[in-house]
Amino acid sequence: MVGGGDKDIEAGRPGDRLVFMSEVLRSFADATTDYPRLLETIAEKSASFFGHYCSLRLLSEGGGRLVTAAMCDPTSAISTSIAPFAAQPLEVAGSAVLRDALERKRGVLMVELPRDELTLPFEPSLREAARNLDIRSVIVLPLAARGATLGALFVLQRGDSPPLAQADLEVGDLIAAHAALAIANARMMTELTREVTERKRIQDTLATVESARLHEKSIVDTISQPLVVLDGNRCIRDANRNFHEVFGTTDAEVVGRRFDEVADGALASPRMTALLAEVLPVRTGVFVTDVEVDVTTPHLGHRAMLVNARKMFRPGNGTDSLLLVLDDITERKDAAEKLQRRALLLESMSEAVIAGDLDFRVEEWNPAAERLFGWSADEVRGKPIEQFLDVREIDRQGVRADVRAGITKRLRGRIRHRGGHWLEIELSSMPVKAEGSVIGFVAVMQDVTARWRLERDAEQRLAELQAANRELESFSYSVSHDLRAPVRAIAGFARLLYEDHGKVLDEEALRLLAVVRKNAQKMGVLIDDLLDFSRMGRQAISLEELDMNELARDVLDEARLAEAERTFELRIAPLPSVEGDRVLIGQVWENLLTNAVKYTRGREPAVIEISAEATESEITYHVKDNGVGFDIRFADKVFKVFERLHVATEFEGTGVGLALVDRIIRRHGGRVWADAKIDGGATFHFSLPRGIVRK
Amino acid sequence: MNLLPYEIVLVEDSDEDAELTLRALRRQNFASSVHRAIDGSAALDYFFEVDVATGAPKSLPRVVLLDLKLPKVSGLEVLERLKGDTRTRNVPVVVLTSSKEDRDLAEAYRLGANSYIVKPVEFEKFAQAIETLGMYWMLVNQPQRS
Repeated sequence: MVGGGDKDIEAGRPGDRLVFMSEVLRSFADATTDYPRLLETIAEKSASFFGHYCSLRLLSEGGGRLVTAAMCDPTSAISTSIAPFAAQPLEVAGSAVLRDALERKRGVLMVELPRDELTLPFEPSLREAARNLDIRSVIVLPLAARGATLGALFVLQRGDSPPLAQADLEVGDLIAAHAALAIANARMMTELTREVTERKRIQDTLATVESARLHEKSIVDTISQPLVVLDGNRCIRDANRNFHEVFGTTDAEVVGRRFDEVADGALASPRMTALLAEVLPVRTGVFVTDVEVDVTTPHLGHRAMLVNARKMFRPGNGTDSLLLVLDDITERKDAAEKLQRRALLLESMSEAVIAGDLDFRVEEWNPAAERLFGWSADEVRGKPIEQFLDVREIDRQGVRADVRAGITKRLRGRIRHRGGHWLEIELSSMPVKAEGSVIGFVAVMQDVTARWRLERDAEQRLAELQAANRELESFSYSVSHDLRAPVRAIAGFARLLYEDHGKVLDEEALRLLAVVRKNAQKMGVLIDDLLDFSRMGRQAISLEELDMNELARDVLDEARLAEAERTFELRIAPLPSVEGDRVLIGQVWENLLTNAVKYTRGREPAVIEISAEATESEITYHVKDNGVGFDIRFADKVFKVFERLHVATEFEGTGVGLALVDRIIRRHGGRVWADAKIDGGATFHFSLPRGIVRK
Repeated sequence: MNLLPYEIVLVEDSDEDAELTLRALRRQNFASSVHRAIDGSAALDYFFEVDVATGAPKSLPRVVLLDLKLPKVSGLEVLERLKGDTRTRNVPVVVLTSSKEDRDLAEAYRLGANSYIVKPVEFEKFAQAIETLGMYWMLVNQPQRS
């Protein structure tokens, strides 16, 4: 028998029992922190103390039933049969004995009683089972602590073992009291522990939530776009730092307020309102992307923003929230517009514009370039320019090195068209710089082939003219030297013949000699006039303000001096001054006035009239005489070289004078013409432009 | 003062012009003191030939009458040499030419010609011109000596 030893202690030495008792009680205290172990301990120790089956039953919630929490049977032989009984809850109300014991909180000893009575602590339904357990005595010990009844400890003595006595009841009460206290304490401890744990858990959760919130906030704040969360009532729940920066607000000013009221209504554009009206009623998570809205902020002014919205709907608690991310695209939009304008400009330019990288791969190739070279942009984009264009002549001028060195260059060269023919191209190449270093090139090109041809032809013609002029010059130089020298010899030696041998020549010989001399002289004059005339075409004109009164008067005085015997009537009106070459215009006066003097021979008096009148653009001068005149039908001829209307015997002359006048006036940009009548005098007119420098 | 074998040097390729010029000068009794060089080369030889005996350069004339259009060495080249050399720089040079061309005139003056006279076709005028310049350079103008 397991419990035999305990019985020995109890039976033999009451002092030992007391020591055991104290051990029992201490074991209760030790087990206080472990509630299930405490219940086991109470059942075990009580059973070993009494040497009988012990069960610890605790009041169920509501207090009506006692349920076995732990049991121990030191007489294990019967334990199998008692187990089903122990598993049965006891209805307190079903047993007067039990109810009474619990109410009075006093232990009950039932010993030396009829068997039926012994089952009284059990409710009637269990009494039959109890009877089968061969119970001989029973102690019921209520467990009560701090005024509350917790349950009961049952000690059942069965069979032939020693019956329970009054002393057992008294010790039992003590044990029960300690057990109850230990249970109460353990329960309190458990409760406290649970409570502390729960509080800790809550605190931990709160800390986690807070840190997550802060974390989220910091992430949200680092988002570079303005971001705002609205609730279902369009009130702002949260806004990130960038939102505040853009709209000049603070959390305190915006959180809880309607979105269209914040930042002076910056967000209250019609498009935004429409967007919210569309999205907010939707009961699911929904995305709205890239809606452009106009936003006017107090310190940024008018901005174009792209809105991306995320509707969040939580079916659990039925809350709405709307996340709005705003993206300021004003600059991007401006840049895009600029790009578009630039593209339009490139397209509309008549000059070919090409651009590319430093390997001279083409990136830009405008329609003018397509037209100019016959290659379409799609064909050439991405290709190095020399792959499709012969630009060697341009390259030879160092364009690439200059571009890389950051130098803008303007040059001309030939580039071959796709069709094989050469184009004369005027090209400006510029380096494209980014952050101070050259990253590519732009070239603007113009077809100057037509102009180049004209220039080339003009140059050729000019060269031909210059050559012709040089020839003419050397011709007249030769004439001047080589023609005059023999004439001078003829005239000179005829003179020597006359001087040295005139005395031995007869009259006829002298006449013939005179003819030779006269013609030699005439030849000299002709040559000189011809040289003057040819020089006129080449000589540069130097313009100055000319006093025409003075010029005309000087010439006239000299011409009259040559024929001092004659009578002249001069009528000279005031002559306006004019711009002209002093020597050449002086020549004009001389030729016209000596003519007037010459062709009025035989008139008494010779009348010479000089007059002029000015218009806004020119001044016209007139020289009129009452001389022999000429047939008006030949008026054009008088201005041609060597054309004469009078025979030389009548009026001397070479036929160069008026041609020279014509040439001089023309070179001044003016005109010459004449009126005349046979024997009715002649009038010569010439006009000169006012204030205009002519060649 | 050096005794001058020739008071005038006439550089003229044309025999006819030379004769006419001498004839005109003769009227002023200058003829005995005229040396004629028939081209530019001969003129330069005359001026820059060193006297073998003395090692000294030739004595210099009172005046040079210089035609421009000359065979071998042109009159303008002769003028340039004369005016570019310190020994001959101060000898008066009268350009006597048929050319009325402005560029010849301008070039002659640029190179240091002292006068420029266009030979007239008419002998009377020619003679007058020669006489006038002869008078001027031989009698009026006192030459500088280097």
